[in-house]
Amino acid sequence: MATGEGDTADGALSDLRVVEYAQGVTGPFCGKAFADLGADVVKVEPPGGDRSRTHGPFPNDEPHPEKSGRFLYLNTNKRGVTLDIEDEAGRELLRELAASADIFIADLPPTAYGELGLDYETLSARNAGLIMVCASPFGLTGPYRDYQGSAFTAFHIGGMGRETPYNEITDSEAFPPLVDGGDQGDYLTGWTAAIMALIAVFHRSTYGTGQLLDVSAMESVAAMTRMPIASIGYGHEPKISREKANFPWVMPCKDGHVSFAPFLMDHWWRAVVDMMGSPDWAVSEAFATTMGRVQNADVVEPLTVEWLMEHTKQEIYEMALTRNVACFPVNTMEEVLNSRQYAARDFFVDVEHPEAGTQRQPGAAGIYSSTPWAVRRPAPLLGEHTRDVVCGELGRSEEELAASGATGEASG
Amino acid sequence: MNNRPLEGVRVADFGWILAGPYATAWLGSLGAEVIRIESQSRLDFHRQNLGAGADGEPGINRGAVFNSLNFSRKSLRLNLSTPRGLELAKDLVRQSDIVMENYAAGVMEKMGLGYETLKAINPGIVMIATSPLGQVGPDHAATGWGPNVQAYAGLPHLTGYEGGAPSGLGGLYPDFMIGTVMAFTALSALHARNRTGEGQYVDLSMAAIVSTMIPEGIMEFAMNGREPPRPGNRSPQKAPRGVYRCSGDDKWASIEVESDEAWQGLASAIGRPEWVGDERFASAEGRRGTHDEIDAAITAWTRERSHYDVMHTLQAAGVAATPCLDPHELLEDEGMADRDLYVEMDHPEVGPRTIAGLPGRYSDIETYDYGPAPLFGQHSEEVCTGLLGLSTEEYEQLVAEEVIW
Repeated sequence: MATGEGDTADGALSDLRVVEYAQGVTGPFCGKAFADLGADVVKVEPPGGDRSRTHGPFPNDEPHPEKSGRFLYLNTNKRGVTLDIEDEAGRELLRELAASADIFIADLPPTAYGELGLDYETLSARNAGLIMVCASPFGLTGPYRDYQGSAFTAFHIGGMGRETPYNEITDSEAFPPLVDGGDQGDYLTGWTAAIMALIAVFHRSTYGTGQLLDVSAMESVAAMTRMPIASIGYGHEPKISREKANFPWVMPCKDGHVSFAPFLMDHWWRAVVDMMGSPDWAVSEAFATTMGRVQNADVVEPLTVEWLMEHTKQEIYEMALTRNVACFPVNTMEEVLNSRQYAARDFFVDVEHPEAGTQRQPGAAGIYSSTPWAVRRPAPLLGEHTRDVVCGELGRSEEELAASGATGEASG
Repeated sequence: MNNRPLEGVRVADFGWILAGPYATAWLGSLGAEVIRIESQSRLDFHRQNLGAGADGEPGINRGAVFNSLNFSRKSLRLNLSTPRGLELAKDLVRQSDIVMENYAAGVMEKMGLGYETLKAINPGIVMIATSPLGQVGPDHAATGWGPNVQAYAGLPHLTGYEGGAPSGLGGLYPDFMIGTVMAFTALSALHARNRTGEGQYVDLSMAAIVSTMIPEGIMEFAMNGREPPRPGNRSPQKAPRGVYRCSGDDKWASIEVESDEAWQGLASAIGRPEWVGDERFASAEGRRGTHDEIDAAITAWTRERSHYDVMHTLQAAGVAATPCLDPHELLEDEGMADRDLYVEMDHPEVGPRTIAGLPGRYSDIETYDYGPAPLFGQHSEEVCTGLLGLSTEEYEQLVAEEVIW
């Protein structure tokens, strides 16, 4: 297991400087994609801190602005500055920081940029190469521009709610469209923002110009529900919905659930039949093809589940592993944390933090052979690097710092 | 038009099914030359199109899923189980910048196209290998599709109706999201190479990608030894939050009250002004305890209205509310129309069709540089006689020998 600070190898994006004025998940997750690959990410918070600081989980369930699991995770590898952008002096410092950045990530309400003098035109006048990411629920233009939104509403308006739970329910009145349990509407929008920002870095190398990037949560979610859109374009009524049509992704077993896909590929099905001990029903020609299995799902599924119910998820997973069949346990959080596979890949990292202590959190999903992902520093205390950045990098005096609305050097 | 920032980048695309093709759709639509290797000996599941061919007609070039993912690239047929096919694939890699693949772990090595081999041919190559649980580790052999892998990652355990079983997500999640991460990863490694001259190999675990997107649940257990609840559409933090029945057939609206001010807006908008000063509802905690009562009142109001009316009325009162849109509605939605996600893409066999392109708007990229999905092997001759330097006679010989297959 990787631990703490100290890995100094250059990350893939270590030549980039990112300034982030964004709260919650979307903007900070975008910033994290860069920070974890070595970019110098300066996170700017309002004096009261990013709202994630009030979001759990907290150790022993005791809320504390320096101990939020969400905040610690999303802001590892960043430095932290507080500025009060309700004050012109604070806004001016934020403009100067944006002038020093390759990428500026922001999530203000779409009309606030102009009102605050933080719009792209103003900022790029000082830094022609600036790449500015504006994340919002519905985008910077359009009929819903000024509407409120969240991970929850994005998931639903973007069409994923209509398909969740996948292929499971029989009474659509009693079971409304369902949200996921992990705020994916925000996390996946963070990935849209991150790839757009990196594209813009290449664009700047090719064409010499920075640009403004407009990221919409609704659109990011809708980009995931592309299969039914294609079906309509190709003259088919889409079949994907929460209502049961054929096999769901999740099926019950003796001690929990597994995600089992015996129906998709013929060689998987043959291996599953073998796993089940080749019962008479399963060797039927009617089920030999994917189409046959899908069309007879009402027969295949209950008989398969009957067999699954006699075995534990670990037994089923192990049998599938040795036969190259698509099957995974529906892991609990405890099981995710205890995954032998994740352990072998040093996936979890223990990050030492001066206030929160050592906390275990997800680390690298990808193992880079020459520019490793690394924990370089824990999430910043509120205002921890304000003086370093404002005085040290922007060249302001202590008096100017005090007069600027910039606050904090370490939280109390 | 400044929409080819990846001009000059060549991608040898061994990706297939969902995540791999979506990853290279990003690269191809930004000006990279993406050459997808295909063959009858390992035909993409979605070339077989299972009754989903355009207008009900089957055909290897007619699949809705295939054509809506495999845009902006060329198709080169190469039978990698023949020595000559393998040699030509290596020739392609020699002249490429990026190799993308999402076979099960170890398949590229078995075919003779592992990173060590490719690196010897082309030391600067960037190779992104994406598999369910990664290339190394005791369970690296695990196989499966994204929606199965999300179970291992922990997401379905957190998802489901209150008191019910864990559930899988829609949208074939997380495959397309993983395609985006693959493309980001490839660009990050290419960016590093532009700086240092050094290529590299990235071993991406699909499950781990998803686990990096559910830190709250994982850290809840790590910190407090407790499994988070499955709250359905409700939230442990905010209340009320839910999906409410509207007028019409299976029409619903999502509503989330983010603050006490939004609560006051909601109470007034649904005709319950007396709730504004009611102490029982003054805090999110109080509203969580009376959620059923609140939901009944909201539903009585939403049932009489369309889901769009619910959005417009509640948003005017400062409340986050949206319709739960189905695909037909998304295609008609005014907000989506402003985003240009849905594009009409021409195709050499099935003609122009509306599909979802790529998300995001840029001030200096008017539109992505979309190109059609290729016919099976459409560019075999062009690539073989051009880039790979074969004569037309040699090419025809290879077709006859089922190397171009």
